Order: sequence, then structure tokens, then C-alpha cells
Amino acid sequence: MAVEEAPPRERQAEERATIPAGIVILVVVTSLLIGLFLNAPDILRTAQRQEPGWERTIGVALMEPIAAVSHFLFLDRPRMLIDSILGRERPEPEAVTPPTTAPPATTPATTMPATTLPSDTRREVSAADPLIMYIGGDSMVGQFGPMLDNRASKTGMVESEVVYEFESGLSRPDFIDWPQRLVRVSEDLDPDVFVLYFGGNDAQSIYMPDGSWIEVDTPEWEEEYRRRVDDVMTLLEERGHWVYWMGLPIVSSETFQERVRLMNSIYEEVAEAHPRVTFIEAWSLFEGPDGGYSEYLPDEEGNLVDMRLDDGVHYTTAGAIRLANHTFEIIAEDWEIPLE
Amino acid sequence: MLFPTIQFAIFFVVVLTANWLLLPHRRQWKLFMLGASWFFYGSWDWRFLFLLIGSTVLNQVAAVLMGRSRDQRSRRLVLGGAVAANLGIIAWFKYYGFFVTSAINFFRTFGIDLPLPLLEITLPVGISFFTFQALSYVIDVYRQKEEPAPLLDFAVYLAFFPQLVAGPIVRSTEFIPQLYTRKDPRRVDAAGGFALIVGGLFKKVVVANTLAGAIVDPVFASPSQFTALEVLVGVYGYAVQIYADFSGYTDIAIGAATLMGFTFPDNFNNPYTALSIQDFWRRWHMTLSRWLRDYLYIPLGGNRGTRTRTYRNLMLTMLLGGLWHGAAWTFVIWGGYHGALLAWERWRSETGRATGPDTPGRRILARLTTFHLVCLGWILFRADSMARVGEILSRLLDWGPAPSVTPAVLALVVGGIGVQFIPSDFRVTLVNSFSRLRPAAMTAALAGSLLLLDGLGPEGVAPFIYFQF
Repeated sequence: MAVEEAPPRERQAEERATIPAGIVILVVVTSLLIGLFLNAPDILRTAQRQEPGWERTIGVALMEPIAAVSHFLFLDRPRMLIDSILGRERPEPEAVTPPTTAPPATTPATTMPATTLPSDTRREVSAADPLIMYIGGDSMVGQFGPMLDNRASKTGMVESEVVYEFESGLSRPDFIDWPQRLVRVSEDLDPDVFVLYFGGNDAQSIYMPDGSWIEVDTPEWEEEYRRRVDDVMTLLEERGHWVYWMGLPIVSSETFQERVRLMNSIYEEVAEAHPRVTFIEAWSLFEGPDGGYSEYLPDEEGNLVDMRLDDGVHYTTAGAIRLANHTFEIIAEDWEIPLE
Repeated sequence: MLFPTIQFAIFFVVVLTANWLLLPHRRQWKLFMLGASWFFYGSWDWRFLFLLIGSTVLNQVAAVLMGRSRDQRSRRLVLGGAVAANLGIIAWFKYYGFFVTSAINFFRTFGIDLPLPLLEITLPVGISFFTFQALSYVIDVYRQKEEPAPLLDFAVYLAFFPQLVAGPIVRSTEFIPQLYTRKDPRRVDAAGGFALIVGGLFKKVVVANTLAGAIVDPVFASPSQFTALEVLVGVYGYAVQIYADFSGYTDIAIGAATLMGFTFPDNFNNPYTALSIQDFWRRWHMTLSRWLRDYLYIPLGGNRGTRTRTYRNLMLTMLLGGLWHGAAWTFVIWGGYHGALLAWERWRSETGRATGPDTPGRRILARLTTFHLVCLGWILFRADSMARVGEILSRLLDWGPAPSVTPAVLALVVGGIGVQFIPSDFRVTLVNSFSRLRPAAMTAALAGSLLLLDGLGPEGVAPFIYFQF
């Protein structure tokens, strides 16, 4: 089987028809415009998921009429066909499910009365009847989730599912409605344990069901965010699940540190009111020797390793392993799973 | 500003239009292109713009000083200073944490606590690429292969946005003369440019991103959860992912430059069809390979000394090439692994052990062996520690059901490798046929490609793997 060397591009180009630069620009602009209409629903969704601000306002204002025209002219149908063939859940922007910000009583029917909590006794876990664990949340799960899954599976007594969505959280149910998704997980997978990680993208204005926004760094924001956290914990607790709510680690940005402290305090305080919810503190686990942010920390063998990514928020693999080991020790103790 | 985004599409339309409009006004063209390229780079982190500007000034001053001096000793002194400064910058931003933690951990084993400060240093995107371009410029001026260019020309060369953040590593001798050649705006190789851009986007958005999420990331994150076949396909998948990701980026870069009337060197030539490791490095990241050859391997002595010195030079070149890719021991080991393979191949060839008839069977065997040796290297490259490498290799013995190996994953892996065996004439004929389409048909084909790209690729935009280098 002979593979030929590619001829130099210059020679290829000699045999090729060329066109004037003006036509090239026209072709580029026109094809981009047609592409804009063909992919309009997806581009509108991308614009909508941005944080509130001028970029989102302009993006949505431009894309809404384009998406409407695209729909009217059936230009979005090929894209919908592709999504349907691939079995993708990419709803049209107009059909985005209304955010679940109401109390748990309004969420789909639970299998037991909302006022009666299931027994607070954990079932016995074994290799034949393993603990079912759902690890979900925002991009913080990206590194941490697989490491927790990896650590837990070594016992042979845990089966996990890891799901994370970039840029998601509890502030923007218009993009991804986590409470609704967790209800579906509860019904379909029925895990014993939910390990949830939110907050990485939540320090932004909160989207309300009526389309209004509550600005971040206000008492109203704190109140609404607390209510949403409480809603999720109540929702899962009433369905008989146990929840491990992950705290955020210390971050490099001092501005963000204040917001992280606030979110951590909300998680911790709300978790205390829920007997089936455990708050797992991560801030101090990633503090340096001086109590401040440190990218490098000693691993289990005492070697200094890079634990945090350059963004000062997310974990490296080593950081994720550190948090996963800490988290699994707590879960294993609760469920009487031998660590080895 | 990543290539597969609307922001870049808008930016590119503006720059492409201005590029051809300003063509008769050379100085305005250069000023505009410099401003646009700095804007492109600053969109990642505006603070690092000062680093790029500083690197431009530093290397230009060195080049001018060497150009003016007739004294070889002072020229060498200036070159030494420039090389040290360039390497110092890259060492600070890219390797400080690696060197310091390695030193602290090493001395800790002897009970010595080194009081070295640990700093949080953000790695500027593309630093390895523009630093290597700057180094090639000052070294070529020192070697009198070229005259110092005017400051504005050099600044445009170093910052030119298509290749700025992830290559190809273009030589100043290839780029700067193109600033003076008359480009004919009536004859643009649009089909060549479009084919490279659309092909590059497809490689990145559909092939690389899908494989990463579907099998590669899960397998490398927790190999213990996967059976042998899944791990094997995960490793093959990474081979395809890294090729699609990196060659996809450079295809887009070369395609964008083509539409603006520039010619960039090729960076990949069907690397998984290689018959040997040496052949692989002639096909993979070709602009880095020739950089390492011309500015490291040959100055070290190349193959001009004894056999042992040649092996040493090969090993040193590949070790440093490995370190260029990332500040971690796994990259150094990966480089050493390739250096050892190159030395072994050379030894076999020099001692007559690699002779035999060139039969189709031998060629297939050679390709299979080379591909699997490269894949073994990719495990070192992708895994975050040697412990993880061991874990992945040990999983290759545990056979069982493989639910993660879906038909889509298999199709991408087999297709990603198989497409490299398509004769280049076929591809050339395809692009040439495309070039003869009427503009309206070309527009329809491009718009259809955009639909497929956005529809088939996973949601979200993942950064290119080689940005971290």
C-alpha cells in the first residue's frame, strides 16, 4: 500500500481555479449569513446562556428575530432533523422549559408524601448490591467527578454516574434547569446518593420565572439563592435520597473569594437543616500554609504538586484526587464501605 | 478568541476585507494587520500583549545590533543575550512552578527544605510558538542568513494572528518576503483556503471534541472503570483526537492565511501512515521538527560526530522537544521515549539490521509497529502521572464487555486514521473540482458545511490542546 507524498500546495494551486478577492469576501459573508439562519436556534441558545450584560443583550436582540425568520422560512428544520437523528436534547429557544424556581411541592409528583421523610437509616451496601451514586453539577465536576468515581469504584461496592454541564448552576435555570434534571435522575436512576457541585457559575444575576433578573451582591440575591439551594435539598431528601453537597474551594481572585464564602455559608447553613444532606467543606482543604490561596500543595506523600488550574478556580487532576479522597472517606464512613 | 466561534468569524470577515482593500497601501496594511493581530492576542488576556510587544522589541534590538556589528565576538554576545532572554521569559512563565516544585521535592527526599517561593504564574497562550519564531529570527540574523527586518515587518511577522497561538512555526525568511511580493487580488486560491478551513473545523469540532467527550477523557480519567477494548479504543481515540485537534488548528491557520494571499508551510502530512519513528517526525508537527533540527540538533553536532554523539544529540533534542510541550515529567519522558526510539532506529539502520526487501507485507507491519509505538507515547503524553500510565497499561489485559465503544466512536477512530491513507491526488482533485464551482454553489456548500459542523459537533467550544504548549 503506497502512500504518496502530498504535492506542494503551490503546485496544487496552479491547477486550481482562482477567484477575485471581492468574490471571496462575498462568498464568506453570504455563507456565514446563511449559516446563521440555518443554525439560528442553537446560536440563540448560546446567546441566551451568557451572563447578563451588554453582550447578552445585543446577542439575544440580534438573534431573536433571525431565529423567528429562520423558523418561519423552515430554515431551521435541517438542523432540527440532525438533532433528532442524533437524539440530542436541543430544544428550540421558544420551547425552553420554564425555570423550576417554585418550591418542591410544584415539581413533578413524588413517590411519597412531601411531609413524610423516609427513614433516616442507610441501607446496607455490598458488592452484590452496590451504592448507586450520581455525581453532578457544573464544570467543577469535570475533574472531580471522574476522580471520585475512580476512587469509589475501587471498593467494588459503588457504581457511579458522572454528569456535568459547563456554565450551568442554580442561577440560570433558563439555560439548564438542574432541579428538573435531578427529578428525572431520581426517577430514572434512583441513586442512593447525590453528590452535587454547584456555585462555580452562580455568582451572577439570577434569572426569575417572569424573565426578570435579581442582581448579584444584593440581599435579594442571597435570599433567592438560599431558597433555590433549599429547594434542591428538600426535593431530593423527600424522594429518599442522601445528598453530599460540595463546598467551593478557596479561589485566587479576592473578589470571587467573598462570593464563594457567601455561597459556602449558604450551603452549610441550609444543609444543617436537612438531616439527609451533608455539606463537604473544600475551602480549607486547598488553603496554603498561610491560609491563603495556593496553587501548589503537598500530596499524600508530601510532594508539592500543582493542585489548581491557571484560572484559580478549577482543580488539576491532583487537586481533584485530593478532594475525591476526602469526599469518599466521608461517604464510606456513612455507608460503612471499607476504604480498600 | 477561538477559531470556531462567531466572534472569530466576525473578526475574520473584517480583517479579510481590510487585507485586500489596504493591499496597495503597504504601510497602512502592516499597521492595520499589527493592530488586528494584537487585538486578537489581547482578547485572551490583554496583559500578555505587553509580553508579545516586549518580545518584539527585545529581539528586534538584538537583530539590529547584530546586523550593525562586524565583530563576531560581540555578535555572539548579543545572540547569547537574546537567546538567554527568550529562554528566560519562557522559563519564567512556563517552567517556574515545574522547576521549583521539582527542586523542593528532590531536596525533600534528603530531608532538606528549600525555601523557594511558589508563585502563581499564568501561562500566556502561544508563548512557546512566538518565542520559537523570535529565536529563529535572531539566530538566522546571527548566521547572516537574513538581514534584520524593519521593526514593523518583524512585529507583523511575530504577531500575525493566524499562526500566533498554535503554529505552524513560520520562519521569518518565509513570511517577511511575502510582505513585499505583489499579491494579485484577482486570483485568490479560495477553494484551497476554504477546504483547509472547513476541513480543520470538522477535525476540531466534530472529530476531536466528540472523541474527547465520548471516550478519551473518561478512559484517561478513570481507566479502572473500563475494559481492555475500551482502553485500547480510548488510546487510539486520543491518537486521532490530538491529530485532529492540532492539525485542525493549523489547517484553519493556513487556510485563513491562504485567503489573505499568504503561503504557510505545511505542518502535517498523514502522520499515521509513517513507516518509522523518523518518518513520523517528518510528518508530525513538521515546522517544530525542522526547528529542532536546524536550531538544536545540528548545532549540537547532528550526526557529524561519532555514533554515540549522534545518539546523544538525538536524545537531547527530543528531551527538550518533550519539555517544550509541557512543564511536567511525563512530557520529558515522552520526549526521551521518542529520542530512544529514533536512536534505536538509527542503530538498526547503521548496523545493517533494518535491511530487507520492500514488500507490501513489510510496509504494513512497519506502519502498524510505528503507529502502536506512537500510541504508547501518547499514553505518556496524555496521562497526568506515571502511576496513571501503569494503570492504563494494566487495563489492557482485562477483557470484557465494551459498552463505551459505540459505532460512532469506532467510526471516528477508524475514519480518523483511514482518511490518512487516501491518496493525496484524490484530495487535490476534489479541491480542484470545488474550485471550479460557481460562487453561488460554493456559498451553498460552505453554508451547508456550517450546518453540519454546528449540528454534528458536541455543544460548547473546547480549547485546542496545543494552546497549552
